[in-house]
Amino acid sequence: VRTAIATLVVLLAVACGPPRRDSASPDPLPAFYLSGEERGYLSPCGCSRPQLGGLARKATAVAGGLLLESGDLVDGPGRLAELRYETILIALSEMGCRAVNVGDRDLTLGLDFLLSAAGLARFPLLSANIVDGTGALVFDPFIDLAVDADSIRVVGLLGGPAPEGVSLLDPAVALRRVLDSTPPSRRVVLLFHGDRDRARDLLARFPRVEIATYAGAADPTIENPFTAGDRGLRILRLPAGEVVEMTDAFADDPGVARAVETYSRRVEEEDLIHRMNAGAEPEAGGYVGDAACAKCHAESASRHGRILHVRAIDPLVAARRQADPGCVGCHVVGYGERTGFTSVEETPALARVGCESCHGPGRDHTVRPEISTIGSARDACFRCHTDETDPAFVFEAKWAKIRHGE
Amino acid sequence: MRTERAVERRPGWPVLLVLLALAACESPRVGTADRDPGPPAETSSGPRLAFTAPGHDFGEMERRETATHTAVFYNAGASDLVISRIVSRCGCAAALTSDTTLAPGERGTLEITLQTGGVAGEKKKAIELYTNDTDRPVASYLVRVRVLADVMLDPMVLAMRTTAAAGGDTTHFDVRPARPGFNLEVRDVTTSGNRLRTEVVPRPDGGDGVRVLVRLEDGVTGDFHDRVTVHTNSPRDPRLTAIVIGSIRQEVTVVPERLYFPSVAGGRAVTRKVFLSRSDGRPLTVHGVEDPAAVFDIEPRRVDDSRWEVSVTLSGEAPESAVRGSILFLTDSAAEPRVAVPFTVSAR
Repeated sequence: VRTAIATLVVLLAVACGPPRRDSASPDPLPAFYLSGEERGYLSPCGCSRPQLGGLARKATAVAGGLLLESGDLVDGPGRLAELRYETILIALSEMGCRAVNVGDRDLTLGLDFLLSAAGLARFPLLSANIVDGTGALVFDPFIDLAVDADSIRVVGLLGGPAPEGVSLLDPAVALRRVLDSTPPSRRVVLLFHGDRDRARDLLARFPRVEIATYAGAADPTIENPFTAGDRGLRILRLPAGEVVEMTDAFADDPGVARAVETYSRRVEEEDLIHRMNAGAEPEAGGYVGDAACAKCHAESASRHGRILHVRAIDPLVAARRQADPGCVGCHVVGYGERTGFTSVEETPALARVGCESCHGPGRDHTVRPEISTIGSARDACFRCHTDETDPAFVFEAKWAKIRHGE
Repeated sequence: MRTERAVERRPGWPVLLVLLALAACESPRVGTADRDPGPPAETSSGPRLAFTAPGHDFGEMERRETATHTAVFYNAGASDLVISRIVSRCGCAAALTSDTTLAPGERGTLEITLQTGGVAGEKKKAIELYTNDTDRPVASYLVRVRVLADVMLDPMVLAMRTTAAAGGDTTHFDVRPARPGFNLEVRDVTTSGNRLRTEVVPRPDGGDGVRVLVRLEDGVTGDFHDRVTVHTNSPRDPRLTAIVIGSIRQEVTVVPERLYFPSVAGGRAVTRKVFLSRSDGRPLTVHGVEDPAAVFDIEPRRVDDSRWEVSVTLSGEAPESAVRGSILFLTDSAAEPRVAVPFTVSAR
């Protein structure tokens, strides 16, 4: 009986073992880098250390290597996102990227915009299942790359969702079409912009796909299907599954840094800091600035004044990003609301992280001090001190430096 | 014999059960720790970090609450394990409460402090420990929590894109009670600008809460970034804000609204496409294109009755200083007979 059970266990283990194509393709794929889901993140703002990410660092990290991008270069629609998308395409061209998959957030820019922006790239935008109103593919479905002695077909697929006016073929059907026309000697890498379960399903159904990626995870996954995580904070070296953190150990590549500087100039030229200012109605009567608070709360203002919050705009000015509406929100008081920051020149007293950045607008309170509109600001820290901007942030340690008003 | 021994132990079971029940009922908020079954069998000839649990579920918590949990791990390898770095997502601090170097079989602990913050919903946060294990250099520990709220907006960010001529673009979001038993009342809905009009209607699926219809009225062309604020009867969530982003365009839609050409070396050509169309589907004719700066090769092509694709190609060496100007598209639109698309060509 023991022998029978042991045999059964062995048979089951063999049957349940890796279904991959190792016997057909015993050699590992040539090394390449996987990145993506930048979601508009171009460079660290510089207000804390260590900060991860940045296109210019990535260019140095992947220099000479083969880079593939999994999509979602931006977060959503709007002129700022368009500028960032163009900038990332230019930067990726500078660093020799070979293909970029189209993600669902990219599609919010519109097919026309993507097709126009594609002219800036020295690589194709890929998607084997995004079709227009006539059912025709909008982008190249794949690209064939010769790497070392191997020929690799890189396929792009979108798992969804698609915005109005854009249709998607079923990913499995689209992938089947591509694979049917793929020569047997060609190895296949799938850039899949969809969830992990769907990517696993595609890997299981199409054994020719040796490596697949998926999207939507904040952190890297170092097993197939892979992801490098979001915001470009890290990249993956495949097929080894090595995580490379984009720290300042990687110097900025000058060509890519120039592209990011050019982006800042374009944002200034288009005056997006004013055009994108929502001018929302502020609560509690609006903003008054630190000086008004200090009249009665001198000690609190004094403690706050000792820390970097009051110079929070400086790194943006140094990087010429002080007019970037996507950045200033965390570096000033009340951007996007009436009486709040509008520009460094127009509202210099609000060009800092001030009392009202955390406690909210104070005008009503200054008029009638007996009515407090000021609440606890503890949660306010986490709005800006995120894992992307300040991975080493520990509330208790930071609060100890500015403890006030208790 | 076995039965007798079992009977002999029986008097202790109720006590054990009570203890287990008490342990299960204990608040998960403070001082919980992963089960510690002791060192696992060796799984690597090098160093190997092995958590005793893949993660921890903090369960349901209110907003702005703090909880702690201790994750337990062992060096399941055959050589010293060195932890070089801990990375945790915002709102979730993690600190080693044991040495950074563990001998084979040695136990380590990680104290995790979770702050739920102000945003409700299910959250997953991965804590990563970077080690000298070359096969698996990153060990992840997953933390989950469901942060409760009285009210939730679905979705919280809305995108709109329309033309001034079409106007009237609409979208919607739902306002729903997020806590069982909460009797939601929406008292008011306000907008940050004058572009948006709102209307509160019952949810079409008959569910609790309401649907807020958001209508984009004609307004000044360009991008906008507005807010819709919902005022409720919840003391915890008296105001919730949905973000509405999008753009209002002219009768003749031009994509992209500006053209940018980066500096290119070696005379490489860069072609940008410009798409012109009418949002109402009426025929559009582009009967001419003017390039006052005379720097482009321009090829208009009619795609269909209402849509044109124009290829704008810059070739040759980039200029020594930046060139700015506009390309003019001459159309049969009475409202916009001359559509200007600004361009910038970067300096060499």
